[in-house]
Amino acid sequence: MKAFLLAVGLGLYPTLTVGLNYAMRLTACIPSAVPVPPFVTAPIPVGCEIVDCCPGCPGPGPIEWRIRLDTKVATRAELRFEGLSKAQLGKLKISGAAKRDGDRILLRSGNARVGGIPHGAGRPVAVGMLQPVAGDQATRRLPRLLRDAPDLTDRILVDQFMGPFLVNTFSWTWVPRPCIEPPRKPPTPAEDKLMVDGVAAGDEVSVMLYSRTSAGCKDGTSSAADTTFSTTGEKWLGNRLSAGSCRSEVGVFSKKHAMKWEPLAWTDLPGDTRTIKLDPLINAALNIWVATDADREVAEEHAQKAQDLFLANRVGVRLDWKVEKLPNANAVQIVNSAVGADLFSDCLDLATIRNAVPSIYVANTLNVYYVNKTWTGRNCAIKIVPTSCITSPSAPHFVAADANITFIGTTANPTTLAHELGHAYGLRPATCSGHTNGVAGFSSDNIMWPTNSSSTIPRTTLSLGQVFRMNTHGDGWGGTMLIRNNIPARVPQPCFPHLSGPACPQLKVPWPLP
Amino acid sequence: MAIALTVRQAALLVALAVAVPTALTQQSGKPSIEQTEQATRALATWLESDDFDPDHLALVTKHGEVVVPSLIAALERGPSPAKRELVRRSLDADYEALTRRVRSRTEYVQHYMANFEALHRIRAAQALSSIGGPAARNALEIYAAKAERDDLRSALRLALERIK
Repeated sequence: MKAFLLAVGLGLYPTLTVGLNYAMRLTACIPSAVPVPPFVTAPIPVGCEIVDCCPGCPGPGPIEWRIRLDTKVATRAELRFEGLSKAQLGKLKISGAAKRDGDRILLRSGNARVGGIPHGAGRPVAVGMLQPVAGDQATRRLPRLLRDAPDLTDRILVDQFMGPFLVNTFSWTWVPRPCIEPPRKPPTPAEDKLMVDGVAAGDEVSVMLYSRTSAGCKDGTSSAADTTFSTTGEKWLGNRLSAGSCRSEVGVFSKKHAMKWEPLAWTDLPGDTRTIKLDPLINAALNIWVATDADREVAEEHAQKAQDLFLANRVGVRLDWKVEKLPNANAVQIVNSAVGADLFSDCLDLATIRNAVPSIYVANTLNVYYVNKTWTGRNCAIKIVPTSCITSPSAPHFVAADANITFIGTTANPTTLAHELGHAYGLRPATCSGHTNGVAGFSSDNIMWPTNSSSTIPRTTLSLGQVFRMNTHGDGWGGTMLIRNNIPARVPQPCFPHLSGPACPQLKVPWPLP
Repeated sequence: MAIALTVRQAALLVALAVAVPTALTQQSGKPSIEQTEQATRALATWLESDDFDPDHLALVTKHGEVVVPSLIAALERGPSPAKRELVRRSLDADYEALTRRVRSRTEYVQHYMANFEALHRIRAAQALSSIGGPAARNALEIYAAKAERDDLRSALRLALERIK
């Protein structure tokens, strides 16, 4: 039976750049289209996004949900409300493509309304638990559906209204895609082959392969499907040709090894075998300096989280962190004076940190300082944060400061450190898609998403395009600190986040799914 | 340094100045449903932003007095109950995913929930400071006197120093 990959997404409202964002994304690969595994239940709190609901909104009053199921596979959904009494459930006004069934509401494709949901000050928050369900017939038809419509996408939208005013939204998106084919027998006639040496049994790695083929150059300008794949160690490739004027190189990304990036030459004849030998994870020293014991605890938590996220996203780095208390009040004063307190959080005086005695800075390592400033975090690659996209230093404001210095403020969230280290590792400037809000192909689960990070779902993802840059990027602000600190022999390559080309994959290039 | 701040503050002022006509027309009457939705989306984005983005602030301040009551409500009451519930669930899931725990679940959730609420109020204060006016100043003064966190108090002081 043909295998299918199901990318399951609880996605963004279409106008996501500026809006009422509630986003989740899950991906899964299943070996078969039948049965589709159960969808994750989505909790949707009843009520407004902002505390007074909207400028000009009437006072407390009932909420109406307007639900649209635009689906071909998840043709039904069940909705249960936690926190509503039986009497309150009985009074809900249900219309359109929905019907009451005991204590739940059954939704089908089309538009439905659920009105009269109690809402107001002093009430506990009711939560609607939305459970999409795949129809049996639709599941059986999934292979044909995908063949006929490869961009098949199911969507469920829940808009919450108070009277005529939209006060909150939720969107669920489900994107099924065919799985990669399982390894096949040696082809006849012979094909070129890529071997990846070091992949543990049961493990897989992600590969980005640029080369010349009979169809032309396959590189950063090609589709991700043409240049990326997952493998357990052996991949048949058809016939790859000598480079000619094309880029011919390979990048291998693993959860258990360093990212490998090297040129790869092929002959024009089929039957070439090329072997990539993976290296161990890079141990990247991370020196964290705190003023209080409470900060020490938080810093440990942040570092662990950053490490987990970097490993899970195949950055190829194991953070080797050490949390130390700043030695005295003067050192605390120095680090707090080094960065601005206002909206802009400028990196004002890093030299004093670097030259402090006793030492509170370790050269060629990541240094993080927990400071008493009312923001989340700031990496100091650029002295002053540019407010528009620039790709080279410019005096006097946008000069290189020190990307190995990061500050964490008092309102940090669990993934602030991971986010700032993303900037240290070359994802910059923020205005050049170093931040991914508004960038096509990204949602708020991305580690470099700057808003909503703690309010919807934890930031957990980096794309292949981002991790490639974290391992390779060069710029006038020092490039990725991974090269400077840990792999100085690697020649950096400028690949700004907002730019792509033959040498640079698009930032949004996703991980090929296993 | 002073020049840098001046340049950027000037850029911000230009963005805000462009927005003034919209705000003035809205002051003359009740905003339309469409304007209300735009303002609500802008408020939600700004109040929940981790990083300072002048464009996001300008999208709020262009609505002028129309959004001041909402910003005052956000300053005084913090995030909405629905948002708090979502954040609590998100943090709970986040704690569940930790591979090493140095604090209890309750401590973890409370710590980050408090940070989220503080940042929400700081963003409200910053927007009120940019819009200015007696109502905004009054709200900032009242809340500055009763804010419990040091960082929140200092952000409010800064907002009051810079209020238009």
